[in-house]
Amino acid sequence: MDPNAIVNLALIALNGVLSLINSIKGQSGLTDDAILAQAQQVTAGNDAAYQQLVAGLNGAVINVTPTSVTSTPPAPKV
Amino acid sequence: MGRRLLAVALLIPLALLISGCKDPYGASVKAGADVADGVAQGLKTVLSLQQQGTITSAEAISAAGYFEFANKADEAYLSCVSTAHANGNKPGTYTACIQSFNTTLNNPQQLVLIHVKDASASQTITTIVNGLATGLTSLQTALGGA
Repeated sequence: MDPNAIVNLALIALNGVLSLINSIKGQSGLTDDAILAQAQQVTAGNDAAYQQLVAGLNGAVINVTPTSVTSTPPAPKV
Repeated sequence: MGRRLLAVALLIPLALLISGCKDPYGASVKAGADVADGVAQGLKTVLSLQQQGTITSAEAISAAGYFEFANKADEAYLSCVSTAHANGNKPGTYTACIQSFNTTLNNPQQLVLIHVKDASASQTITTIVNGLATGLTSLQTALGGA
């Protein structure tokens, strides 16, 4: 997959995590246990986003690495 | 982005301090949730800086590595807090959880990961990281040994 597409997936995943966080903050009267469970969901979301982010960025690093010239030039004709 | 990050960095310690110590379990859980929030903000910031060309992809991978390290530490912390609660809120257990978490976050070998060449980007990332650690230190004090 295109590294940029993977990076975009990471961004989507992170936006999902941030939406979850905003959702948690928007709920009043949550029990401590519920906050704990949702915090664990956020950390799991962070894990997934990180994996995608690194996969995408690693692809970007590989893409900008100059390719080495391995073929030898033809011998001059005499 | 700068003002939002500053707000995150300042509000995490404040929120942790206010949540204080009448309810050590609740305060500890909220601290873990706030750090998870900070990690998400940190990852998104790193990605934004890379996409703007302010930091290289290699620097972004490295800095994201610190935030993932912090996230794993947060998972362990939340588990510790959950266990402390299940074991009847014995004195000192929440403090031990947060002390261990804070020590882990301040591991110099991991903090090296957030180093980037661009001074402004470096400041931005450092502000978020400092916000996490400062918040935990504030809560540790507020817990008063609970």
